[in-house]
Amino acid sequence: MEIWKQLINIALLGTDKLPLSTELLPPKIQDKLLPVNQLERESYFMKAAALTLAYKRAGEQIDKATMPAIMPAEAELQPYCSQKAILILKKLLGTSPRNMSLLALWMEKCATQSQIIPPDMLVSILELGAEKKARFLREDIRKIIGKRGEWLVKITNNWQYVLPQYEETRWQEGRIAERKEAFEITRNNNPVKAFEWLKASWTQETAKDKKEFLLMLEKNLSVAEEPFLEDFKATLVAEKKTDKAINKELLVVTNNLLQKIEKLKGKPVSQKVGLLGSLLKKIITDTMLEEEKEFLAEVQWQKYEETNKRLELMSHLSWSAEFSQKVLEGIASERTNHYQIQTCGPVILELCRCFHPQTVVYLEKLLVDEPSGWHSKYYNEKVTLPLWQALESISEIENVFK
Amino acid sequence: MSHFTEDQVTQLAPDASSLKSGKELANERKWVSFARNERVLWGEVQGSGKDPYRTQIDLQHIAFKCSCPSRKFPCKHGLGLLFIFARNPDTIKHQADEPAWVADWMNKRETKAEAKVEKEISQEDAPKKLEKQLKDKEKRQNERQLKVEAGVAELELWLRDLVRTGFLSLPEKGNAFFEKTAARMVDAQATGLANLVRGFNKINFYQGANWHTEALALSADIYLLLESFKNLDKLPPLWQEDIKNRIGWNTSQKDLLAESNDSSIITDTWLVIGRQTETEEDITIQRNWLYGFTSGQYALILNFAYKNTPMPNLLIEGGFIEATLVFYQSNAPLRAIIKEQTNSSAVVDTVNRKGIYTYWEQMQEAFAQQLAANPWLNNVPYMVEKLTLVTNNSQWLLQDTEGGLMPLHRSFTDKQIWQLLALTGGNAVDLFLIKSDNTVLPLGIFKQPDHTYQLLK
Repeated sequence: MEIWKQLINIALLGTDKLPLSTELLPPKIQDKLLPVNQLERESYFMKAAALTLAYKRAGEQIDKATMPAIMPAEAELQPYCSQKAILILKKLLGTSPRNMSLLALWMEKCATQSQIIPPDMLVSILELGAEKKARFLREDIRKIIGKRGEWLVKITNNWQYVLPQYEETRWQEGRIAERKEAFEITRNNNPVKAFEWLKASWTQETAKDKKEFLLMLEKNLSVAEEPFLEDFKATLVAEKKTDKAINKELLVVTNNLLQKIEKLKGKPVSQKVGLLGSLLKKIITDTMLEEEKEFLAEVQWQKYEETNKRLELMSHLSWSAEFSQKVLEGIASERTNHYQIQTCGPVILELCRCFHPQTVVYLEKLLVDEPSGWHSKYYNEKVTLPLWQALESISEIENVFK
Repeated sequence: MSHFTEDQVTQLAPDASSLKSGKELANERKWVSFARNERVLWGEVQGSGKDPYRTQIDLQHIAFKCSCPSRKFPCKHGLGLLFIFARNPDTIKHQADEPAWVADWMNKRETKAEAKVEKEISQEDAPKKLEKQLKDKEKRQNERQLKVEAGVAELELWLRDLVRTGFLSLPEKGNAFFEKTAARMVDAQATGLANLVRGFNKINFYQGANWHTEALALSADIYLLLESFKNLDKLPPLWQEDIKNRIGWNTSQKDLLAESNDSSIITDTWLVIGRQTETEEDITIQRNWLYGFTSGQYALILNFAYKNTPMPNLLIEGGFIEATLVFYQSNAPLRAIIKEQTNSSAVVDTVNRKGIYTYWEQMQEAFAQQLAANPWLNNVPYMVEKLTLVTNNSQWLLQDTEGGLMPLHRSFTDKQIWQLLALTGGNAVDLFLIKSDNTVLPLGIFKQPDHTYQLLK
């Protein structure tokens, strides 16, 4: 509006320097200003401005243009996950700090069931995947966002990590830091592919980068990678450059990997432990308190030697009442050793009490025996331990995706 | 069926730590007992004390009480119990007879509400006392009138100075310059003027030339108000009300209830279409926008809280309520208070088409009419149907079915735009929104056939 611009100019310079010329105003506003004394410059100007503002606001025109409409998203082919599953997801997203292992479990379950998340969850999940610490979730995020999610990524040009070629492009064209990240992620999700990439570019990598890539190769190391490593070792030795510090380091790293491969040969490939295997182990170690870790390391009451075995048992705790009874008996027999009970007690107590109502009866018996003891404290205050929460979440997630 | 969703309970939490603890307590195993009936939900939870805490929630008026010593309101126990109810109401058994401690509280609450009404009546029975009160009130009002008149004169002088010397020096004036004048207006008991003057401090002087328009519009708005106040006696009564309200006269809720007539009272099924919360110094202002489905009336319910005190009424954003609202006297009624909230589980049967538009032009026309009734009006709620997001030079706009385009308010974040895209999938939707200057701030998506509402947070 031309007249508004004029008014702004006057306002900026001041009515002292630039008086208002009435004839610029729309006739209707001029009429209204007739009774006002023009010599009182400031009030005359302010009245004109107030009238013009109302005139302008009331007469504001809507811009019209035929903008190309965006092509709507395609209909989904996969079913949405259940409302209950969403509640758990929201809970996991809402806790701080977020437990990435539990989120990973949720997404893996959702993906294996070929279910997808509803539209209102898309932005939070896509934003989560953009975080560096959530980069290992990306593979599963890609699977659970459905047609709507893919459409959203295309329309907004955001969250490019969802695109299938994203990591490969970063590996081929990115700067070294991006290449390393792409390699690390791919080595985690698709170890064979990552190995193929590295083999293809090997001769062009600098010695320093080679070392770092070799260190990352340790994850998901496979017997099939032995010939490549042997070749490289042979080259190092043959070129007789091992007096150079970096080459010496490369040799050490390569030897280390070769030794690991030797060990792998002796063992069956499947290392799945317990109901949830290594994932459970990771969740437990992620969420355990120091005292809980101590408990796993020190406690002597059971004959199971390996941590994995123990974890397997703990994972059964939420399903087998029989076992929890056993554990409690274990505590009872160890009660003479007060220190030990204090460290291991809370964990077992929480686990058993929370999952098995009948074990409460047993606990109550213990309380009668020793009312002022450590367990009454935990029993009364209902302390929630992170481990307990994690285990509860695992069983919740398992249940909603059954 | 539960009246609450988990998100709604989340909104009631006074802070993050209460929310966290509340969620932890949303576990049936942590409760010694719990039960509910139509009007109340109660439970006992073991705390650090010897006896369990007794937690109760008035479900009809959303009020909490708990025997725990926490000063948070609502406390974690109340939140935890309501979370259980929201997540899975079926786990809470229905029990008609309430334990004594629950019945006591509920009955007391009801007698209190009745007593309030009776008290008002008994005052009417004492005409002499009333007369004296009226006289005192009149005296106070006269004193105030004089104070405000002096303030208005002072502000007019200040504004004239600005206009005479020009706005080019505004960016260098600094916050203190405007704050000083605002403080003078507070002294003059014209808080509305004070807030308008503080508007200069909200202008971004360092980004383009947009501040030119903002500063002139603000000055013109202030000037119009000052002039109108000077001519107050010559204006119709409703104009007087609007002007006095804008200057800073607050009608107390008590007076509003007493003076209200049938035309200013509306009972309806209201949807809380959105909420804006801002904190200024120690005061948190909560703007709740409501839409009444039978009346087609929009309402603005303002709540204030000082520092960490709880918000007085607990409206749930995105929730439906059955309530009677009393509107402030105005030429374009919008601000209201809740007189009575009868039920929080409302079902919408019919939708009045008032306040719902199909094209931006229709909305603009309606706005122009409202502007004629109240020239200071800005931030007005509407519903506009069948809108789609379109993009132009990486700016997102809302387009109606005739090609009319409307830019989004700057406070609508990228994340909210993505959320709107995700929810619509590129299809047209009906939006409740706030028109603010020449932009709109979408509040939520209304789905017509099933009458569900999705907030855009």
